[in-house]
This record gives sequence, structure tokens and C-alpha cells, in this order.
Amino acid sequence: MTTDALDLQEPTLGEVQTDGRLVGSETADLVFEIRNFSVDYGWGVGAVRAVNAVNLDVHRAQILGIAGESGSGKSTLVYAATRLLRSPGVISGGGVTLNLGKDDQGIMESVDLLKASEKELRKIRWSQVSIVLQSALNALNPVLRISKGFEEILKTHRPDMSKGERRARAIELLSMVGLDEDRLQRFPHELSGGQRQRIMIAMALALDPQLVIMDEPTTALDVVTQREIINELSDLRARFGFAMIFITHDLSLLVELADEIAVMYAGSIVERAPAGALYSAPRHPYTLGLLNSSPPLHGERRELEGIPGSPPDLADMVTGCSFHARCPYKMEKCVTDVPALVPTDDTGRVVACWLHSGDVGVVVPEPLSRLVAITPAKKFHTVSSTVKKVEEAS
Amino acid sequence: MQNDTTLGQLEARGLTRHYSMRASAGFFGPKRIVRAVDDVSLTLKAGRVTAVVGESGSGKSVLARMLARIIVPTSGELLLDGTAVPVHAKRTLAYTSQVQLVLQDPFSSINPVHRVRHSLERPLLIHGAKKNEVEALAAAALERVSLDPPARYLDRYPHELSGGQLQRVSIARALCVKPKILLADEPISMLDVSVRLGVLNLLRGLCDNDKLAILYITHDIASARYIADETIVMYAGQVVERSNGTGLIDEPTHPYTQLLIASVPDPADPTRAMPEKVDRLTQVSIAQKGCRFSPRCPHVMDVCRNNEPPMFDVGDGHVSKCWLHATSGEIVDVGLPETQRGGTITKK
Amino acid sequence: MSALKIPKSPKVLLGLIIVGFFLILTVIGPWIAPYNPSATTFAPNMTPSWAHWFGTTSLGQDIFSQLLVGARATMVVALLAGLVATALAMTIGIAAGYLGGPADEGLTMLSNVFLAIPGLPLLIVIDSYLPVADRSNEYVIGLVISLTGWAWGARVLRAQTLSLRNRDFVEASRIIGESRLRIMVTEVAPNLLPVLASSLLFTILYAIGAYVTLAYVGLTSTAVWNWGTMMFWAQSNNAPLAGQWYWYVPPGICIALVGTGLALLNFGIDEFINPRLRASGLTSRLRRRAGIPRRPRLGYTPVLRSARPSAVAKRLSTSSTK
Repeated sequence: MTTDALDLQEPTLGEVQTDGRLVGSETADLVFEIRNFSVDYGWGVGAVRAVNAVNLDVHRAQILGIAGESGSGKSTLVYAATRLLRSPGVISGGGVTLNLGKDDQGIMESVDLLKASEKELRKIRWSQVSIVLQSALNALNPVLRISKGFEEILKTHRPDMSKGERRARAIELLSMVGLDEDRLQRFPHELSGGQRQRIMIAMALALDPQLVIMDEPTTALDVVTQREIINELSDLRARFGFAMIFITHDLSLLVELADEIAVMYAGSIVERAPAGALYSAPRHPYTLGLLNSSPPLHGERRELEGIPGSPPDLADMVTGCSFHARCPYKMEKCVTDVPALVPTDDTGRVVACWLHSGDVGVVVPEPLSRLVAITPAKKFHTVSSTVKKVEEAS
Repeated sequence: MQNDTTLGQLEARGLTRHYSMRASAGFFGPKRIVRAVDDVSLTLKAGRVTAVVGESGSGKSVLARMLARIIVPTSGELLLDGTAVPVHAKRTLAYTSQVQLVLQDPFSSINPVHRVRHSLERPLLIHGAKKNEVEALAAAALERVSLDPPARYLDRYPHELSGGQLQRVSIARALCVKPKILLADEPISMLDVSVRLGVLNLLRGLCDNDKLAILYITHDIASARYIADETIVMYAGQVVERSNGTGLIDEPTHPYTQLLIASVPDPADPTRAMPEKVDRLTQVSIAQKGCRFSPRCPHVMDVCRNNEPPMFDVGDGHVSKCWLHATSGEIVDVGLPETQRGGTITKK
Repeated sequence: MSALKIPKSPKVLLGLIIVGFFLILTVIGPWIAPYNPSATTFAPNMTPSWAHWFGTTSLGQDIFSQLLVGARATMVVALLAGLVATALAMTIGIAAGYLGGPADEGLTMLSNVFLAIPGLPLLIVIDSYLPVADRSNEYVIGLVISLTGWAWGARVLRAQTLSLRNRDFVEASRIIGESRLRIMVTEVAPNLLPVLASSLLFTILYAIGAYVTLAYVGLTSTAVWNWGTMMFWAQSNNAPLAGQWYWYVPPGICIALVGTGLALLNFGIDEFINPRLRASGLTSRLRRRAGIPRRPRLGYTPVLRSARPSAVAKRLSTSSTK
């Protein structure tokens, strides 16, 4: 594992290396596998494809970020994969496997989520896979105290815990997310948005699941609370080693938080790469456009473009690459043929773009052919010193 | 489109809005005053974008509505083009035609049962356009927001348009009355990321080309940096820092601004210091006495807890409401720095 | 509004057919009636036969003709009462909801008063004070009925208006300088159409019941034929005891059918309001073939069992070779 020349501390558990893998994880265990997964809304002739043949792997202690805008299918993907998608959503193809861990003989125990019965799903829901919804702020029952929420979870899944043990566990969980024990006696409306979200995260971790899925958990929160929660999530991941899927439209946030990022557009994954590599050397024009859509905080002010046009209407699917109407590097082939996800180098990153298919005569434009920069290891633990000194002015 | 060549200016002095609420339910609870906006002064000038940055609860939306005069201030003055506006009287049509407000959610700010044409015709007719001119004026408004060709959009229903297009229609509707001053309350926060810059560029263009005075309210400080000629940071109803151009983002002097900037995801600078964790004694995030930010401030001093700080000048038209600058800066009371320096956007 | 589509749901279609049928009957009833309903020229108490489809009354009148002619008065009064009551409800409800303050309090108190007073006794009292000449005028009766039927709709519309007035587009209309009256009429009211339609249907239902009851207790003039009057005569001639079901059952069934039709139409409006119920093109045959249960349970997203890839999948997977 190479550290770079910028003279930083030795990486410790919880820090991410340049190639995106987590230091200190025992093995790159595969926790969640999604293969060729498709989801439609409706059936028959009028069906609209919301997710198209998606392949994803999530490893133990890895944070996989899924970035996309409206119509990308990012939320549909994870809800359908956990069989939580509402009607008229149906799963129209593929497979989803959750690996629960090796049993005594060393054989991997896994569950096929698409073939499981309702009873099996209920058993693994929350104890193996938990999900923090987009509207988690409103997911707490307003007439019950917070302690009741924890009680319900623990009573249902751990029936042999005593009342005292349950309470102790609830207090432990709250302290994990930085909340005091007295929050237990409150009602949801007495807490701020950030506190409620923290409680949802604590509940999601109550049973020590293998995989935690978060759907835009910080979108409704202010930037400062968002930062606190992101830092906490990283710490928790480092401590407990669960895998996490983090869905958001904020690509900059994912670059800072996630180990690997999958960018989705119109129901398909268009690029997947380690976070640092995606940021410094994007390969798909959409990724480049998204990165350029965030005005920078520093540096010279200059006019930026964003991406012309609007995110697609899934009911109105075009032929060929779904992005071609908005793509500045469109070629003839893009209008007629759908590009497949192909590797661009041997680090495992993939992109679905005809520019990178290796066709003869195709020159990759400069912004999409940069070299991957070596980025310093990320730090998520709060630093207690160097907030910019204010006395400079005097 | 702008026939009238006089430029507009809207000045607010000491705008304040208090709400009195009962702390607990019932008739007999103690009354509590919520100071939604407290003594805010600013000037919107033609050809300039003023950005107000704040989180929810900072009072920025109430401020915008007071400037648009759909909320009556508890105290304070408004001057339109130098003339005092009677804030407690009913809002006049003349004022409406000078000052317009664009709302945050494009999906709900346009009536879903009417076509786009109707939403554009109403402001035109209310403000004196003749029936036979209305079609042409509505089309011109759509062209001004780059919805070309207008015929394609006039007969659509809102649900047939995307968020970005709807927000442009919303801006076009505001432009129909030919205002000199355009207030935008978080105009891009509900749009997809890839279309946000288009709308921001549109606002900047309206400012540069048509010399509108624009107030841009946001919680996203990076977008404020992108288009602002003047930046104001609000916390708990008060202005805590103000500077021309991007001064306050490049060199934040108020601890709240520093916290904001350190919290924003910035992959370009991964080794920057993360915000300091402050050991909070209470859950309160806004103090009632003294500096409102003191419960969360890493540099809090005794004076902060007891006395509300005045605005200090920290140089170059940059002011900061923080006791840390008591020795270095002079007190600036009400009123804005007159310097017009600020960055302009250069095309690449 | 967007073009009206022929609804595909069988419930709504049935409702449309029933109500449509009776509306047609309202118009053509008196023309196609075989005999004069008041004519007592036939043999009394005849059971149904080819000459008299529903037999004759004890006075020798053809029941079938009474039914057909009676449809007009019944439906006209019901429609009139429904429309007037809904118009009242709309005015009072929307004004109360939008204006707020003392206007709201006053109007709400008014609707509460009318809600609290039991409708039928009030109707009977008002009716008994009417001069006899007016009692035979269906329009007056219709107006009287509407006076007791508007309050419920007003409350519903007020509640809806209260939630609508906080919507951004109402605020936006205020910002551009629209007057309050115009906002209520052109911005708020059109958004209430589904609720208004539903309220109208319910009020018509109520009006039919009220009118028939008034006729049944003899408070309307017997010169005008309607289904309620038929039952009044049947009752006062002891038709049930005499086993003359063909006298009082047909009008009863007609009333029930109209009511059912209106209720089914209301389902259609519910579907229109809630787009999720509008499963366009998702017929049950296709659904069964795809292996999806009728009502997929939350938390158990169905997995299509079709082996054939859908047309969508085929198109999307063309070309890419790698």
C-alpha cells in the first residue's frame, strides 16, 4: 500500500488508500451482489424501464456511493433490490445476493433476495440489511417516544434480550451517534432534524447489519449537520466494518466520503471507479459534466456551463446511448448503438461510453483522458486545532 | 425589453420581524418572542447580485418576503429609489411592478391546472398590457429566459416541463412585470445538479445585460461565490458577516462562516482542516443573550455570552459581527461600505 | 383541462352507463311513455302484462308510464338541488378557507349551524310553510332542498382550500399582484375540481333521497309525477299488504340504481385524483401472465416470471457487442 510523498501519518484503520480499498479490512469480502438487475414500472407494452441491467458489488467495510439525478434510477435500484419497491414497480430481471458470512464449516451463507419468501425477508431485514430512507426525518412515529422505537426493533429481532439489556443497548447506540441518553425520553418533534437523522442511523445499526443503505440521508439537513453526520458515519464504518451504500445527487460529497462511486444515468450505470480516480480523471462525459456543475469554492471565478438539456424522461427512451442528446462529444455511433460497460484500465474501473471502446480512429478528448492523480489519504476524524486563525487580521 | 432606462435600487434599513408565540400550548404559557429577522440592512443596486447565505432558520426567506412586501416588518425602513416606502400600508401595484420574487420550488409555484400561457398572461394583464399585446409579450419573456421557441412552451402544462424549464418560466413570469429588482429565494436548490448552472448563468445575465438588481438567497455558499458581487452571511436572523465579491469566502472572519466553509464538501482540497468539534453544554444552538452563535463557537469568550457584538470593519469593505475583531477593527454601525470593488466573472 | 378519456375501469364505466341511462330517460321519458300516467282508464290492480309492463295501480293507472314520466321530475329536482347546493358550498367554503380571519369564523359558524340542524325535519318544516301553489313547483322544492344540503360540501371545500392556500402558486399569484377574488376563482377553484365533482355527486344523491322522502310523506303536490309520489300512492293503498310489489318496487329500484350509479362515478373521480390508482394499460390479463399478484404487498416487490424479455429490454440491449 503506497502512501504518497505528502508526509502524512501512517494510515490507520478507517483510512482509505489511493486505490480505494480500505486498510485493515480483513478480506475484500463480498457482501452484496447485484447482477444484471432490471426494474420496470408497469408491465406489458406500457412498461417503463427504470433500472437497466445493473451490476454492482459491495464489499465488507466499503462505502459504495451511487450518484445520479432525477430519473437515474438510483433509489429505485436499492428499493427494488431489497424488495421494498412500491407498486407498480416490478423486478424484471437479474439477481440479488446477500452474503451473510461464513458458517462453522467455512461455507459462505447467502440469501437470494429475489427468491426469498416473505418470512425470510422479514428475518434478514434490519438484522442483516438496514435502510435509512430519504424521508427518515419523518419516519419516526410521532406519538411514540424514541425509546419505544428501539424497543420495537430489539424485541422483534432479539426476543431473548431482557428489558434492561434492551435499554442498555439503546443507550449504547445513541452514544455511538453522539447523542445523550436523555434523548430516549423525547418525542420526535422535540428533536432537531439532525438529531432525528442520527437516531435513524442508530436504529439502522441496532442489530449490527452487514449492509446499511442510505438514500439521501443528508439532503434535507444543513451543511454543518451534514458534515457532522458524514464524519460519524465514517467513524462507525471503521469501527464496525459494515458495508454501506450511500445514494445522493451530490457528487462532491461522495468524492469525500465513498471508496467507490457508481454514476447512474437513465437507469444504467455509466461509470464506476474509485472515488479519487473518478474525481481527478473522469472518463464518462456525464461524470465530467456533473463534476463541472459544482462551482468551486476557491480559485479563479470563471463561467461554467453545467450540462445542457434536462435529465431524461424514462417513458420516452431514445435509441443508442441515453446521454447522447446532451453530450458534447457525441459521435454517430452514439445515436444508434448502446455502449456496454467496459474496463478502461486494469484497476477495475469501468465506463459505458463509445469514446473508450477502443474503436479505431476515436480520439479521447483531453478532459476524459487525464491520468489518475495520487491523492493523499482521507482523514475523517475531526481535527482539534487548525481552524483558520482569526487574529491574522490584527 | 426594458423600455424604461432608469435603474433601480432597493435599500433596507434595520428590517426586523418578530413573531410572538406561546412557549407551551394553552392560554397561560409564557410568551416567547421569535426573532426571525433582526435589524438587517442591505442595499440592492442595479447591475449587482447580492447573495445572502444562511441555513434554514436564519431568516433569509422572511427577509426576502419583507423586501417583496408580502410580510410586514415589525420595524425598519424600506427605500425604493431613494423614496421611503410606507411599509405598514397595503402594497401598491406600482411597488409590485418594481420588485418581484421568484420562489424556491418550481413544481409548486406554477398553477398545475393552467397552461404556461395563463401563468404569463396574468401578470401582463394586471400590470396594464393590452389584450392584443399579451401573446407577443409572453413570448418575449420566454425568449428572455432562453426558452426558445416560445410557441413550444406556451401551450404546455407545468407537469410536461422539467424542473429547470419550470424555474425559467417562473423567472419569466416575474420578468413580465418589468421589475427593476428581482429577489430569488433559493431558486436552484430544488433543481437537478446539471441544470443549476444554467439558471445561475441566466440570473447573472439578467443582471449584467439588463441591469437588474438581484438578491440571491441560498444555503449553498459555493453557488453564492459563483455569481455574487456582494455576499452576506446570516445566522439566527442577523447579518454576521458581509463583504464585496468573494472576500468572505476566501478569508472568512466570523466563526460561523468559517464553520460553513469548512463543512462544505470540497474534493479539491481534501487535506483541509475539518471543523472543530465544540463541546456543547446544552442543546441550544441559538443564544438569547449576547452573541447568538456563542453556544457553538470554538472561540467563545465571556464577553460573547453577555453582550451582543457590533459590526466590526475588518478592512476592504468586509465587516464581521464578532468580538474577536474588537481590537483590530472599527465599529461599523448601520449602512454599507461604499466601495464598489468586487470580482466580476471572466469568461474562460 | 386535458381531454376527457373514456375510463377503462369497469366500475366507472358501469356508473357512467347507469347514470347516462337515467339522464336520457329524464329527457325522453314523457315522450316514450305508452300512456298518460294519470289516466285512470285501465282495469285496476292488474299484474304485469304485455300491455302494462308493470301492471296498474288500484285506480287503473299504468305504472310503467308513471315510472317513465316520474323520472323527469325526480332527476330534475335532484340535479337542480345538487347544483345549487354545490354552488353555495363552493362560494362559502372557498371564501371561508381563503379569506380566513373573521370572514372564515362567520361562514364556518353558518355552515356548522346548517350542519347541526337535521336536514329532513327542517325540510318538512319549511315545506309545510310553503303556499300550496309553490309545493307543486319542482324548482322551489329543489331550492329548498339545496338549502339543507350545502353545509357538508362547504366544510370539505374549506378544508381543501386551507391546504391549497399555502401552496407556492397561490403565493406567487399574490406576488404578481393578483386580486383576492381572482385568486379564489381562477387559481384555487380549478384545483378543487375533483373534490367539487365528488361533492356534487354526493349532493345529488342526497337530493334524490330528500325529494323522494318529501313526496313519500305527501308534502309535494301529487299533480307532478315522481317516484316518491308513486310510492306514496302505493303506501296509502296498502300495496305491500296486497302483494302488489310491481307498484312500489320499481320506483325503489330506480332510486337505488341512480344512487349506485352516482357512487360508482365517484370511484372514477377518486382514481382520477390519485394517479397511482390510474393503472394505464395495466390490465389484469397481462398482470396475471406476468405472475404479479393482484395487490402486491408492501415489502414484497414482485419479480416477473416471464421468460421472454420485454420489448423494452430487447431494444435496450441491441448492438453492444463487448
